[in-house]
Formats: sequence, structure tokens, C-alpha cells
Amino acid sequence: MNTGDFTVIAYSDSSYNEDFIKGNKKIVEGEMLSPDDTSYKIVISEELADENDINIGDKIEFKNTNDESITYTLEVSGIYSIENETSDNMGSRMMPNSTNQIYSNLTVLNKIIDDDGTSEDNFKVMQNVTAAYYVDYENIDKFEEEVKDLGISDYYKVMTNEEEVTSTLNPIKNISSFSKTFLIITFVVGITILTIINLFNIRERKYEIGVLRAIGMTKLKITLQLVTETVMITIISLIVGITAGTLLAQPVTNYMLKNEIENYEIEATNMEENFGSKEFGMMRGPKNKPNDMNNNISYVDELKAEIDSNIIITLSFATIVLTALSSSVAVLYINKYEPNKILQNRE
Amino acid sequence: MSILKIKNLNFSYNNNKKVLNDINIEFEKGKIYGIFGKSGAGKSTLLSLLAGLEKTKDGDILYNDMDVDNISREKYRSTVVGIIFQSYNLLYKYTPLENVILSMNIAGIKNINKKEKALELLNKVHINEEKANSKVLHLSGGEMQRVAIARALSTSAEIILADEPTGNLDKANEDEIITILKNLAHKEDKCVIVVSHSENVKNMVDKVFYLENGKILDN
Repeated sequence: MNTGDFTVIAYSDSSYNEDFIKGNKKIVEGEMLSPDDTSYKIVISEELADENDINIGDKIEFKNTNDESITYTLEVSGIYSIENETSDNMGSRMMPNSTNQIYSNLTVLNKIIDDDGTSEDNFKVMQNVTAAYYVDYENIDKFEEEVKDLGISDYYKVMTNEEEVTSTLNPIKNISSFSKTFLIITFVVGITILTIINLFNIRERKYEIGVLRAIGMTKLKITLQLVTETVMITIISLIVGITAGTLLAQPVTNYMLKNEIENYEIEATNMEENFGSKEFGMMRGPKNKPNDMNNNISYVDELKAEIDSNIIITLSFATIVLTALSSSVAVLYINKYEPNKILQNRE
Repeated sequence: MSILKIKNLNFSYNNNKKVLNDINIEFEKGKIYGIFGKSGAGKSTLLSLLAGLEKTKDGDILYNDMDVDNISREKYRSTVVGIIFQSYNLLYKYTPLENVILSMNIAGIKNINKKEKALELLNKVHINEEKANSKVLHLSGGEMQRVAIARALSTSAEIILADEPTGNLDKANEDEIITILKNLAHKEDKCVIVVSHSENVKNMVDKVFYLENGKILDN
């Protein structure tokens, strides 16, 4: 709400407070008011505090510009600094100066609106009506449908904390996504490299194939022999790979999960610093969410990584088939030449 | 009685100029034949056809009166003929002994001690056991050609085909190779056919064929 020289801002949900989330503003003393707060407290800018020699705990009296007989005595509970000027807080007709932006709570804001008696249309109101229901995770979609069927007005929006619930799995989701992408890339690159290596390997052995065919070995026998050799090498590589994978899966997963959680924690710490309170530390995730849903998030920090027999069988089968196919293609390519031609070209 | 007959054989690569023109020759066991002519006369092409490395298009090659085209080419190359190449065409990662045994395996020879037989054949061409077990790359050109002869003999083939077998060898080695080939024909009743430029070879064979522009001059 913008009145007189000051802009009073209150949020029903801290996730709306983008200036602090993005770090454009930062609490330097005291702390940001919680959306649940009902006391007559405010958070003011550092410049405003310095210019007027205001400290934490000081009480300031404001007059309602529409009716100067109405006054509000508000206690300073926090002081913020402006880190980055944005188009939103640089000053405009509606919001004259970011240093004069005062953060309070909905109780104070509603009191001013009520006293002013002006239509709410004149104010920038961001307020949510919260009614929390506890629903099984599996029934979230059904619940939303049921509420709409009951005839809830379009003015209200049904929101769930589904993302918050699932956000505890975010580090695992990230690892899973990374692993899948890595697996696909490895597979595609692997097949390409395998085929090229096989092709080069068989081309290197073109002379040998020419000699063997010249002295009477059949194309089928040559193909089988070379494919068998390649498959044998693949099996040895598989054994080495699976052994290494089994030994490294857990430590690598632990390391990746730890890194992911650390990243989330660093972000949470930044939030704590910006809002000046631990209460806001775990505030991550989607906007438009009722404030009582902003609970502390406890990330899943243990993930059991193991390579079971199904994975080994699938992996082995896929690898051997791919190796056999790629080497067969290479051998068939060479076998199309007559032995005489291969040997003459060499001579 | 002839073991190998060439009847009305014409041949050209990709329907271009004729490389061989109406060739008719008969080869018998116990004799060594020489096919001579200038470069490009068609000597090696004729030997490739006899070896089953090329397929006839016009005319026939008969082995014991049987059309070679009706025999599996792999079987023909592994059991009927033994081929000796000018550049030896041995497998260099193997030893001479392994090269000879591999040839026996391809021919499907069973029920004999292959190692013993291979050593015996190598010994016959003057490759001792020590050399038989060393890498082929450590051998001289003459020795490699003798290993190639042992390999050609390993399948008990009745026909030995040699394409310029002395082309890369000095005089002493050439004499030795010719003697071995001559003995194969005269003492072991093989049919030996040699393609060569060498006057020395020409003087030692039982019958000479001259090829000129794809035709046999002395038939």
C-alpha cells in the first residue's frame, strides 16, 4: 500500500517477497517479519534508519495522510540494506522511493486499509486466504477436482504443497536426471565408438582375412571367429566394468547426493541471510503457496546404490548384442571383397 | 590322365578387354609346368582361376573331369589346391608351425598329430624346429617362401600352384625352391604349376606354356 511518503508492504506468503529472495535487499539488523506475525512491527531501510537515527526496538509514529487524527505506532524489528536497485524499487508514481519502503505484516496493512476507508482497488493487495487440509499424497489431484466440483469461486485458487513434499526428493531427482542423461549419452557415444573401433580393427585385419579366405576358410567361420574374439574382449571389459561399478556406485552416489544437498543448503543459507532469520532459510520452491505450508524441508540424504542382477543381465545382454552387431557389420563389410582383391591391393 | 583341364576359357574383368582368350590346357600329376609371358599377358589371372580365387565366366576348368564351379570354392582352395604366393601371404603374428597347423585346421584334417606332421613338412623344406617356433617376421624371404610351400603341402593337395614363387628371392634361394617344387612333382606325384618370369625356372620345368595377349602360343 502506498500512502503519503511511505510504501507499506506486507505479504501473506514470504515467497512473494522477490526482492529479498533475489538478494536485491538484505536484512542487516534484526529480522524480517514472519507472514504469521500480528504485532505492530515494521522493517525499514538502512538509509531511513541512519537519516533518522532509528535503531532496532525504536517505535515510530505514522500518521494516516487521509485522516491525520489516525496514528500508528510501529516498532522497528529489522533494518534492510538495498543491494541492487531494480525497476520495481527504483521509484515510480506508485512506489516513490525504495528507501521509503516499509515492510510490515497483514495485520498492520489491513488496519491502515480499514482506517482509510478507501476501496481496496486503490491498493496493491497481495493476500491469501488459507484453509489447510491434509490429504494423502496419492489423492491430491482428486482433492483438487472435488473442491472445484463443490463450487469454489474462481476468485480462489486451490493450491497444494505437492511440490514441497516432492522437493525433499529434489537432490535424488537431480541425480536421477543426470544419470539418465549420462547413460543415454554414454550409450549413443559408446555404440558409435564401438562400431568405428570395430571397423578400424577389422580393416587392420583385412590382410589376415584375405589370407584366411585364400587358403579356404569360409566367410561364416571368419565372421564367427572375429565376432567371438570381440565378444570375448567385451565380456572381459564387462566384468571389469561391473566390478568397478559395483565398488564405486555407492561412494559416487553419496558424493553426488552430498553435493546436491550442499547446493540446496547454500541456497537456503542465502535466504537466511537475505531475510535475516532462520525461519526463511528453508523457504524454497513455488510461489503462490499458503504460508503455513512453508515448513522446514528435510532432504533425503541417504540413497542406497546397488547394481542388482537384473541390471547386470540387461547391461551384459545389450552390450554383447551391440558388440556382436557392430563387429558383424564390420566383418561383413570386409567379406564382400574377394580374397584375391584384398591380397593384390596389399601387394 | 589329366588331373586338371582348362577348356575354351575366356576371361575379362568387368567386361572390358579380354585377359584370357580361348585357353585349352591339360595338366597331369607327377609333372611340373611353367607358364611364362610378359607382364600383363594374363599369367596370374590364369593361376587365380586355377586356384579358385576367381570365378570362370566363359569356359570350364575341370578337376578330375568335374567342373570346379560345382565344388565349394572354399573346399577346393583348402583341400584340392595348395597355393604359393610371390609375397608368401603368411600370417605374421603366428609362427611357421602355427601357420601350417592353421591350414590343416581349415582343411578339416583330423586324426593325425598335426604338430608332428607340420614339423615334418617344415623340415622337408629345411625349416628346423627352432625356426618353426619363431615368429614368421624373423625369417628371411627364402625361409618364408619355404614355409609357404610347407603350408601348401599341409593339406595333401594334389595340385600345387605357385605364382612367381622365386620373384623376391636371390639365386641360391631360387634354386632351392625350384628343387623343392620339382621334387614335389617327380617324387610325390603332385601336379605343380608355376607362373614365372625366371629363365632358371623355365629350364627346370617339364613343360612350358607361353602366354601372349591372353593366348597360349605353344599349346
